[in-house]
Amino acid sequence: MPLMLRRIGRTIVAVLAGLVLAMLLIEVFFRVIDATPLRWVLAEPQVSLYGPDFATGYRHRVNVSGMWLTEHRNFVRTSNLGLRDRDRPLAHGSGPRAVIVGNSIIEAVQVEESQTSSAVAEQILSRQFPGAEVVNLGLSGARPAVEVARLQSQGLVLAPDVAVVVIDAGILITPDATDDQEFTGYRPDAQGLFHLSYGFRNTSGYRFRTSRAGQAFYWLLDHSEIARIINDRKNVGLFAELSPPAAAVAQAYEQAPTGHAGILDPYVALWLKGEPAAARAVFDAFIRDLAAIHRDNKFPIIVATRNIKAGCPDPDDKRSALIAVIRAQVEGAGMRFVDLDAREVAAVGADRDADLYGFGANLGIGHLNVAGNRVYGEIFADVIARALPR
Amino acid sequence: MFGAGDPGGAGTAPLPNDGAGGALIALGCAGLLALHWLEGYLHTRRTVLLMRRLDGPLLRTLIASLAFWLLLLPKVQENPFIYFRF
Repeated sequence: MPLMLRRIGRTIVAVLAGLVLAMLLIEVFFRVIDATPLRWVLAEPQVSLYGPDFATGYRHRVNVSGMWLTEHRNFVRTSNLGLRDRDRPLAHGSGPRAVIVGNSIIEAVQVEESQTSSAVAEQILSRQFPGAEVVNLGLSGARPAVEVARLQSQGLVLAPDVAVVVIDAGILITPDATDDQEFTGYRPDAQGLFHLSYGFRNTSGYRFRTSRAGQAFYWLLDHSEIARIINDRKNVGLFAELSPPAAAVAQAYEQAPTGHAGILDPYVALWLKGEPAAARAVFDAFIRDLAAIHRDNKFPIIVATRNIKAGCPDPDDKRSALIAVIRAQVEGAGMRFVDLDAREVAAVGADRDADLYGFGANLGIGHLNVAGNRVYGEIFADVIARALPR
Repeated sequence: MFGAGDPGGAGTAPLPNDGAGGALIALGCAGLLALHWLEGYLHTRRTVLLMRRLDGPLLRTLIASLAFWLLLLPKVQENPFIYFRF
């Protein structure tokens, strides 16, 4: 009997040793990949950039670096201020400072930091305004409410002289635009008026992420390849490879590479007919809140729309009517308006604007590539220069 | 890849400037070839005999766990519009 027990004990120890050894080998293997040029070709866990935020629900964490793998491999490092930006002091420098608020198109984790539209705009503006700064407040997946909350919190702390807020029209027509369980959303009050809502603050997920255990979890994500593998798998789902792709999610954000009949219909319904009513109310609240920030802080705000396809055959001139309505609402609230899609087509031509999106085999579909970020950067430099006090 | 070949098909991404010079790239390529050599070595009679000698719960758990961890790593996400996750 003792002999049998000893044998069982030895087997258990051997199994445990095998498990630990495998973990160590995997950890070393991926660290070697991460530390060498092999990171540009071999599989590895993706960097985890985001953490909790009281104002917006989530944001970039400070000084996190690693490989971004989705869509186009890129080495990403967040700044000392926890932004997708270069390191810079929080205090306003001698030159003018602009902030650009937007979603992943502005965040641009697919290209190097110096190639993002904000960095390009900063480089151009610096020639005209020595010491000019353009701070990238782009945040992946940011909806109108998150953008307003981000400008109110991180934006105002930076004391900008001008703010550009890029709104993706596609996000306004998604059904979950009023959800506030993971991040800030617009929710109606008893009178039906939409206000910023922070339901995420009461969720167990947010409470965990802001607890000591959550801090330990993020420390592990930053220092352990094994922890990132487990987290990546948790995020995509255990059997993700067997599930069909989330096409519905993609459609909501996608920049249509070519125009087609009916492409503007959801936007015509939203802005000319006010349908769906909730989406229209969210946009009205978004403009109202931005106008309040503009009034209270006395700096120009430029609202820039994108994803309202320009340059397509449009016999009924629906697009002009649509843009006129949006422009009137934004300018009526005391802010400036920029039609990014029209500026993009004016810069490169209707037949070439798809080339500004996507990478490699997926050219035409996806986020702005290096050329796309340059074009956006030139547009931003121009609109910011016009808005800066002379 | 990295801007080489047909510009229309390869996109506009330049070679990443991460300090990887010629020697490091050559080392990376040698590393990839080493994986093929290792795979070939596993099929030799000598390795099979060695594995038979070391066969036991430790080796079996080690190999099964390595396979498990590699399977756990999600395949590269090609959909550009899968947004942030914590």
